[in-house]
Amino acid sequence: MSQAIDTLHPIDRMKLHPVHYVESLIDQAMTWGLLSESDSTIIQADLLELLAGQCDKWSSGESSSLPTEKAQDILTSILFVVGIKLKNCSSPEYAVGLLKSEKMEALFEEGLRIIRRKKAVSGHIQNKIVRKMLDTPNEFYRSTIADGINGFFKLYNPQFTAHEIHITADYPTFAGRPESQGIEFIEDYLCCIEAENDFCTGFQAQDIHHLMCGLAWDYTRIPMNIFEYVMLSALGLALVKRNPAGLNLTNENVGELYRFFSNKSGEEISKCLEEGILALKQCGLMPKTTELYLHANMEKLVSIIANGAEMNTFYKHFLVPSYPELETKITFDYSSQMDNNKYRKLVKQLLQMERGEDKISLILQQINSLADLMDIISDAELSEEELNLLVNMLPLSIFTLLLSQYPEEDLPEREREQMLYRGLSKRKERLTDVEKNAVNQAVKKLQKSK
Amino acid sequence: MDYNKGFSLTSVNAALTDGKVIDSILQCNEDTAEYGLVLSEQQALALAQTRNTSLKSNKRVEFGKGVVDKLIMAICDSPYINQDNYEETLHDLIETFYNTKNNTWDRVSDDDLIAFIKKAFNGCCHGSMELLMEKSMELAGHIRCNRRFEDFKYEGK
Repeated sequence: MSQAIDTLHPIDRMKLHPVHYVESLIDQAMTWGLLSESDSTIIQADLLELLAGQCDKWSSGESSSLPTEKAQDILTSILFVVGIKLKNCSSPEYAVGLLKSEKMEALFEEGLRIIRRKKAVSGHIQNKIVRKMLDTPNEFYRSTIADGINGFFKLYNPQFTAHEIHITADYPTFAGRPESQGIEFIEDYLCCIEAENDFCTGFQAQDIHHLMCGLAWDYTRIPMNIFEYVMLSALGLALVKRNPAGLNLTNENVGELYRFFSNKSGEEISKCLEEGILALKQCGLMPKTTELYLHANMEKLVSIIANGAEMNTFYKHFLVPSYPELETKITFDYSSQMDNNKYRKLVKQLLQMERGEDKISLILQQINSLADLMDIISDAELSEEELNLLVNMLPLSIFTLLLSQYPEEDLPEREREQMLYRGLSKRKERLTDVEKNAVNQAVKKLQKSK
Repeated sequence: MDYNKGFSLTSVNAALTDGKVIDSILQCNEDTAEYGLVLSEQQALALAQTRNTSLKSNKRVEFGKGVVDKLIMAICDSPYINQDNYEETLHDLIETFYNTKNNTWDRVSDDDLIAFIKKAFNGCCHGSMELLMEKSMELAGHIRCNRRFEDFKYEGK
């Protein structure tokens, strides 16, 4: 059935661009005959007059011309400020009326007044968040929410750059990066953080840390959203009828959740999630702000679950906590190297030898420390074949230690090291599954211990 | 939809200010006549066009009547200008002005830049446009090294 057009309010709010609000409003008003061509010309002339005044202020009256790029920037800022005023109107049609009846300068001043108020409100929200920050070692969390936002408040100048934020806002929110600009961006961003914080601070910081370690032990150095994992873990626990407060899903629970959500439609998933939210609410773990936030982002939440079920990647979303402090730490040191004279003699001997087998056997006899082994690999000018032979003859523990020196994502630059890395990779390929598993775990631990 | 289209700045220079610029140029005739320098309406229009082209090529916009009349009043008493080279010199000075404005990163005010042009053109450049352009480049280098406009040395490098 076609929807009847509201003749009093013909402008569709959905067609008004959140960033280019004034432009889209004029465009829509002209489409519906609320503005004529001559109205539009008058508005543009008025806008240019305001722009001239702002450019004059920008140069402190010392320059009648300015770079086009700067003028465009000031124009964007003016349109943003006027847009803030017009968005504040009870209806788009009323806003069009203001565009016709008011001078652009008056709308601009009114917009600035609203921005000042928004800035004060945002400052208040930020203070509230900072007073109850999540105790997390994630570097991006504090550096964005406290330091970054403070930087915004210091640099924000609505007179000339109202649409800018001046900061990178690296810590991501679950809802994604707000599409708005200037103070609206900060307002939207802080509202998301507030809803996320209200939820996360209901859990023990240690439990959140262990949960995040279940994803990546170096999550502290990655700009990743913490709320998503805390919320999914709590929801998951509620759905498998366990206490959500501990954030301690097990592998069995994750399997259970996978079976539970598999083959469910989006609507069914949404219904299950609603039940989970209700359960968390009953446990006192779902503040009102977060509940509203989750409802606003239900589509995203459903898509995470649906994709996870389809791709069998639930383990990436419903995390099983990891306890690094309980894991055995492997430590090694580079001391007890052989003395320099003895080392030089060994290198000389190796360079004079012809048969690879002899060289390797001498190395294995004489070298007793990892530091000497690393040195000899580069000094003895071993061929790729000889390196492969050495790698294959090393005890599994030393092989693992060498392997831990080369994280997969960080390929060595030097040719000899590349040869060694190839030899290590080839030997790893030949290991049995059990050996491979043990080596992988040991390598992880060794890399953590660095 | 390209929302910036309707609010483009490209037409600002030409559409809104041409009339004002031409009027301000012609008004200068009242004062410059005593030095035997007068511009016709056609010459004023040509100067306004040079202003537009120069602003465009230097990627700048200007509001109001601009600086052409100020340039005229600054150099009308120059010993190196007569009615024969008057218009041509003005075309060159307009181009030099906006070019130097850009090269000095907008750190020199209109009035200071006009004072520089007057002093250099009448002094060390002896009315030569080539030398004035060189001097302007020197000024740009001076300003970009974070030095004060007042400390610029006109004579020698």
